[in-house]
Amino acid sequence: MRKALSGTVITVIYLFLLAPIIAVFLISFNSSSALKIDLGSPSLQWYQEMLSNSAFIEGAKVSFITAAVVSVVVLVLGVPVALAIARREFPGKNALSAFFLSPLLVPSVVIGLGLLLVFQPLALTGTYLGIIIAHFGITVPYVIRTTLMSLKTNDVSCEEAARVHGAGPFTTFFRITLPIISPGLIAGAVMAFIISFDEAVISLFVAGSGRTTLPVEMFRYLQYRSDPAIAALSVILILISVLLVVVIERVVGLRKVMNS
Amino acid sequence: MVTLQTTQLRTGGLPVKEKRSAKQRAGTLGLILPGSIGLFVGFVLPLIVMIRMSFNQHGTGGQLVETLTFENYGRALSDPFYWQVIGNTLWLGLLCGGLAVILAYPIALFLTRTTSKWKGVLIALAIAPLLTSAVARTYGWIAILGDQGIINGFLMDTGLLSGPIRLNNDMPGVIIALVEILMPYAILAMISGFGRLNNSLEEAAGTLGASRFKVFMRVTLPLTLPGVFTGFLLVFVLSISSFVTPRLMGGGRVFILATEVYNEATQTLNWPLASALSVILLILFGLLVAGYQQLTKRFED
Amino acid sequence: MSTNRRLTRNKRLLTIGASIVAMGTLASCASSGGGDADGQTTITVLGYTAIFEDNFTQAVIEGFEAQHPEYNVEYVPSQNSAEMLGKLRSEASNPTVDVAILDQSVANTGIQEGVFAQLDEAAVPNLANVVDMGLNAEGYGPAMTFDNLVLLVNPEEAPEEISSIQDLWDAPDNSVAIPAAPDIQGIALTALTANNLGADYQEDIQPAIDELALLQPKVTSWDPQPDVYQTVTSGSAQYAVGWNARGQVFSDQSDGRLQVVQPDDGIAFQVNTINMVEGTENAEGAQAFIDYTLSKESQESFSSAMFYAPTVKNAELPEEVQARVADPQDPNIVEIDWIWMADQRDAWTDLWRRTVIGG
Repeated sequence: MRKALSGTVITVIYLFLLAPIIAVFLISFNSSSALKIDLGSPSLQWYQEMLSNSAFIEGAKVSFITAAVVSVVVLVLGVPVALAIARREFPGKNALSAFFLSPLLVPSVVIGLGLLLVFQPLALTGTYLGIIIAHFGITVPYVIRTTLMSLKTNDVSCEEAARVHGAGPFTTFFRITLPIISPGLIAGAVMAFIISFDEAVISLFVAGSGRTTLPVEMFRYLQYRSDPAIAALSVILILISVLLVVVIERVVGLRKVMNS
Repeated sequence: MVTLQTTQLRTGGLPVKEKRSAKQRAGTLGLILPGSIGLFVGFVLPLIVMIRMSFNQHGTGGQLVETLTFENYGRALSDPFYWQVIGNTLWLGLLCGGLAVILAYPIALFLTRTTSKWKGVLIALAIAPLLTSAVARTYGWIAILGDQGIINGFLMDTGLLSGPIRLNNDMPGVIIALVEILMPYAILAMISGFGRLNNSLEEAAGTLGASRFKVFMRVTLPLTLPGVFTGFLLVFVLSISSFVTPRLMGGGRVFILATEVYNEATQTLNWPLASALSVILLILFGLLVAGYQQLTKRFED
Repeated sequence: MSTNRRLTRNKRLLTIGASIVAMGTLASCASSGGGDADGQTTITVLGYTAIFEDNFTQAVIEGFEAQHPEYNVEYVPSQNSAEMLGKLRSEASNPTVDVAILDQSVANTGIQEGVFAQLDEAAVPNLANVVDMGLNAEGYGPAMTFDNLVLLVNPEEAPEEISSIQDLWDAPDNSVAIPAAPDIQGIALTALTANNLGADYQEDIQPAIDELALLQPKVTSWDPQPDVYQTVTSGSAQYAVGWNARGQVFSDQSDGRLQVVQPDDGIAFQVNTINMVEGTENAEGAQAFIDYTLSKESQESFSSAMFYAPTVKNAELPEEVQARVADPQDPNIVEIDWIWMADQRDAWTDLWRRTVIGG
């Protein structure tokens, strides 16, 4: 009896949690353009419609390029900082690590407005460079955290040993440290990619009338249209995320990613 | 800690300590500098420019006048409307945080305890929404809550309602959608915070004769409270700064700081006021996070 | 003007900051428009996005390019007038845009900030044909299109026909969509409401605001998402106020689910002006383009495509188009001084939020 009750509660909450995704999935096969589930004669017309929408295609391209560049840039600039925090002693270390986590504590609208004010005079709104700079700030905390985690859980003895045997700092890093912390790096890069790909608010501010990311295109589309093309697009995006998760699971193991 | 000691011991034993440490300091700087410059340009500089902008003036006819004035803060803080906006913002955060925690708690508890072979899948399902864009999920909620949406459609088809009730285009819809959208964060925070929970402790209390309710109140709840706090704070903070959902589902009736900032920045082009409101939001945020840290510190002591 | 100088200085500082990051990370991401391949001069025009862009390109730009092979027009789409002003404001010292088409009240802010330049009557001979209502007293950009506030109805879902703004007060609960101030549709509705109450909107707006507050239960959304035309077509709202031009275009695409009604108790015009940007290196081309948009041929073709009322006296529209476009001579017109309004918009928006929506 109790078990049944708690089972029901859990199921209901799960249903609530997945409700919009289920709705989006069903609506994507709608037979009409109405904003409700209408499966009179299920069709794939909205998938066709979505693929022929050049704004979506362009937005997806921009999102993929920026997310990919952001995850590389954030690794190249972020990992050394994490390395310094974990392995070096220097004054102001705590302040530095607080500094690198602080973007998480600032509402995105605030960051977005600030970036808009900086970018407009420089004509950086609606450019790749602008979006990448904007996304750097919000993704770097994650990369530093995941890298720190894997640096802290791994002993320095291997690195020490390599140094004793005469390896230079670069050799030590590339031969020893990097392989050890690579799961953390991949996790960080993946998170940076997903966050950059999904980010809507900051991108909305810095998009201007030039290049925009996919979430911004979707947001703008919803201001003029409400047909199920958005649903079809969302289903495709969900499938891509699932694929991404499966790939990570195969390559590094989901648990390692989740733990960090 | 262990790692630190080894490093110190080793460098301490070297005769060329001085030379090496100077070199090392330069190396450290080289590690830190590029990232710091990046963060400065992409994060600190915008905040500085924004704070400076908040002291400018929005002249007649919408002109931007460069000056040093507290006028915007004066306007925002002396006006009951903006106090109401601040109040709405906090209320939205509290309500979403509270509801999300209440709903996430059973799920997190269940996921921590379950031994089902589906555990991995169930965890993935609970977190999966995070991988779906907030814009898409908001669209889903509009389809569910709208006047012609699934809920109203069902209620009217079954004759329980004669006309649609307004779920979308007002505060209730925004809250329902935000709770769902942010709940996975609470679940994640709780799962990782429930580490100290362990079945044997609860069983022990049970065999010692405590009622289920007592076991929950005396053992389970105190052990899980830190996770609950983290989950609450996370959802609270995220809903205070949420923008997409209130904007698409608010129907022009939901006035919160984030939508006000966006309107002033992009519709009326009153950048000084938008900046002043952002600074207020930022301060509000800082106070809340600091207060929360005090609270958890006291709790842990 | 010190604003400009200081903005420039800030700009330089920012440039230095940004370029430091840029150097290390990306060098080749910015893409700029191509060169002038066949000795053509490029005129860059800033205007509204979506259907405006599509129709304007077909009905106006293509005609201009055919007539003036020495020019080629690049259209930069923007979400709204405020965003356009933001762009022009930020690049004031080094404009990339030659001509901007935007709402009159926002354009006026730009004129005050020195973003726009006065036109040379000799270079824009068609200015002589522009109706009085469309001319700028100081010689800045004239009106290029007139639009007017209309009622939108979904005839399949709406219980009753409506013919006037006043009828909205008799609509059933939860059936009307109104884009609230600061949207200028809300502002125009306020002026029409004042007119219906026999009040002068420049004197005292409170009665109109109190009247609008009575609409609160009737209104399903004060910020329709998606826009009013889709909201009515889909039936999420049965009635709405919107603009004639877009209403007519979307009505044709709606399978009869969107009907445009010209209110019989007052017509409020919205004006888009066409402006030359101050500091453009291409004043000659810019004015040639502006002149073309004011020609009989261009005005007729754009009006037929998008149902804006022409702003020149010599335009003659086909009858079926004329019937769907408001006439600048209509006796029902409630004249709105959008330049006066530019200063009042904030105050009116405040009243809307406090009394109309919040009340």
